[in-house]
Amino acid sequence: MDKQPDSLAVRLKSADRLAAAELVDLYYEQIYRYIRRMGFGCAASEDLTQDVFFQAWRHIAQLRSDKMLRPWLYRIATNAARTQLRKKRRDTSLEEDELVDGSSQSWEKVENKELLLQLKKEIDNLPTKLKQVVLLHYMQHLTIAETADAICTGQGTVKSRISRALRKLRKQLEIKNEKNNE
Amino acid sequence: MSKKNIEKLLSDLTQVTAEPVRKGLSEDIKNRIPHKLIPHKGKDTINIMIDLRISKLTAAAAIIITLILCVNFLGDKNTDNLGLVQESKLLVNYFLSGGHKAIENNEYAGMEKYYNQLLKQGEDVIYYGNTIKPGDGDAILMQFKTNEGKYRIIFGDMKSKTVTAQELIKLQSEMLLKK
Repeated sequence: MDKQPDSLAVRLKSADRLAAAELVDLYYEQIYRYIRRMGFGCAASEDLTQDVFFQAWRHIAQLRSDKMLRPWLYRIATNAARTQLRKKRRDTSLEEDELVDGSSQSWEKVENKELLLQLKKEIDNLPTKLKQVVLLHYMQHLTIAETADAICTGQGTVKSRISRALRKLRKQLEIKNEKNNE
Repeated sequence: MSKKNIEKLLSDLTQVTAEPVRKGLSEDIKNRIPHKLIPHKGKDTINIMIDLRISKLTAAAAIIITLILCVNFLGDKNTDNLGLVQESKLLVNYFLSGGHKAIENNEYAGMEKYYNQLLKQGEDVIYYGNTIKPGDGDAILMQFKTNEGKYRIIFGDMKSKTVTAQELIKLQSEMLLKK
């Protein structure tokens, strides 16, 4: 009978350097974009992404299973971003504009560009806890359970935060829309 | 605006903001993989990461205390039973007083140990350690009765001699007069 290959988590725990590299290949883009969407500039996001993986290797013993790998990395990223934000309250606002101003190539063919830019702005204005769940669940495509693990809270709390966040975003966009129509 | 609409907008926003990531980033991260990844030993182990910043003096004290502990564990009998705090005090005293006083105290500490040992054996012993001046050659530090009915005396300067009961009384009187 063929032996089942060891899971990535198991290989990481046994100090396999190839597994460490595999972890990077699998998740570095996701983590980078998540940090970027949290409002950090390109360079700061790259630095933080590196730190996330470095911390992951150092604390690999805390990882319970393969299933938990993705939310665990996001948890590290969330904590790293939070710490960084505390250190210097968004001195990267200029770089942030690269993402918000809609001048990059990806924005060119967008139909409802104005609305999306407004939505982006409203997400940034959300309280941190609500912003986190929107980013993790809708933009990073984590399940409710994974989102709950990533921010160390219950699934019920995540659902309620998502609901509150959507309500707030809807309300803000409607207000903006009404103003435009006037 | 319905919930579905806002979810659709979020989905669109996700695509638009999925900017390309610099290709070299993954290599940069991989280059930081530690050469020695430490394997996890099992469920019974925990990771303790300590980022401790201490002064050089504190570090030196920690090293000294560690050395004393090692000496105690490895069986240096001279320091046996003195206790970590006492030994640390001696070392601190040694450094503060240029070593002299600490040596005397150390001898006294050893003497105290000897006294306790004799006491346990049921010997007729008196210890004056706390009342005399360290290094005083005329003061009796400790006295105990020998099997021959005489008295063995140890002075403050650690010199010793065996005397008769009369000589002991004379020495004690002189000591009291001096005080």
